[in-house]
Amino acid sequence: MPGFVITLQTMNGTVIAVDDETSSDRISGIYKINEYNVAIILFEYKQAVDFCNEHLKKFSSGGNFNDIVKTAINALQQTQQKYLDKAFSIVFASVDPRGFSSAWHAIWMQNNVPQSSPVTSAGVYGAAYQDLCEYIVSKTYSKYMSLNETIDLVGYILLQCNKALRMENNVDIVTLSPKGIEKLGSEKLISIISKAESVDNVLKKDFSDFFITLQEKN
Amino acid sequence: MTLAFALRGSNGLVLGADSRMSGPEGTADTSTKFLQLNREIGVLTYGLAEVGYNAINRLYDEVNKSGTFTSGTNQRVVHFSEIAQIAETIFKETFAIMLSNLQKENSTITPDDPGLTTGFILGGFDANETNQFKILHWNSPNFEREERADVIAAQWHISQFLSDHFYYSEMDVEQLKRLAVFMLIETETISTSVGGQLKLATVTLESGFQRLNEKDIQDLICECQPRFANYRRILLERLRV
Repeated sequence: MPGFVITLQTMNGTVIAVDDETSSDRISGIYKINEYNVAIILFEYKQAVDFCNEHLKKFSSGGNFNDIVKTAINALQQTQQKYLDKAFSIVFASVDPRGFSSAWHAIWMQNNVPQSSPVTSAGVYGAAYQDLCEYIVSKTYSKYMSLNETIDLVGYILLQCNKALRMENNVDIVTLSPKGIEKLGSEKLISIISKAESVDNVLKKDFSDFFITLQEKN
Repeated sequence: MTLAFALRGSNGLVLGADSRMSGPEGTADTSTKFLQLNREIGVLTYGLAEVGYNAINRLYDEVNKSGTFTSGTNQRVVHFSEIAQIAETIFKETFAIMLSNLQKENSTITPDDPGLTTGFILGGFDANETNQFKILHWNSPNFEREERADVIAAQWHISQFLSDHFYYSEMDVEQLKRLAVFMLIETETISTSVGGQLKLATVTLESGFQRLNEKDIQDLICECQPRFANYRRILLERLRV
């Protein structure tokens, strides 16, 4: 299964959905740097975790987001030989504990050259799912949504991926808010998917006569 | 890639595809992805343009080769099941020839290489055996025949999502035409490999295979404009509660 990551930023936090595959050839995942900073690994999970362990452990008790990103960029530049021809790609996400702002920055290897750039507010990664996820996000998402609305939206996207693409693996949903990092429990996940299912049924009802003209109805 | 589909309704079929062709040198919106084979049967292709184009043209020639009904030789193929049988053979052969040519240059290429994905959809009215509208689908590398009420192939994720929410088998051809335009336009908004002029055709008992001209399609797009806005409004209402 390809790595699957959706990240949606909101005004009061961030929702991250990532596949929870446990196999040795796992591709993507979340690495917790500290309570308010995470590294979202898009490819080469094992190698990226080693990278984080080696260079970012010192921030485990706290640290400024800019320092974390700067350290990571420097480390990638110094050790780039290790990542030649690898799809090395990490997105750093942070939230201000006072709730004022969140910050995002990505580092990756492109043509064997380290790159870094701030990230936009929505990201969907995962070849097989990307177009469907991006489509639903493009129709509905706004960064002014609340954290709960965004969690529900991610739940709806996951439901559609499950239906259309028969995703075999489960997906973890993690929120990064002023309260810190929180992984949603399985009960909460079930309730989100169940809510998405009922919303989907309502949508189907809404769309049941969508292509029938008034003339045809009469 | 492309978007190709066939939808079966209560009184006929709608076949659709975009006209974009993508390759290493860029994209061109000039691709011919479907052909009319006879009065009431059409064929669509997606994936590798060279294989698809050669195969559907060969099928057209085979179905329409000259001959008489009485001579017994070079007899015209008219029945859906016969055309389906010939189609399957041609699709397999054309793909095998292309694969063997590619393998001469690069022996590591395998038939299931995602870059070689090619498929075909045959849609029409089976007047001889079942008296029904039929949609058959073949996909590389095995080209096993599959019969379905609707087939949405290649860049199918978004259109499948729309089909799951809008399509039901009791829809008539007029409604399916609107859905087809909707699916093509909505997919284009995200998938850059889908685009160019939309190609649509209908198959009905009364009129047989009818390709929609540019103006008909433009009219359908205009007619659908309020629906695009309405659709977005409903999604926002329901998904952002």
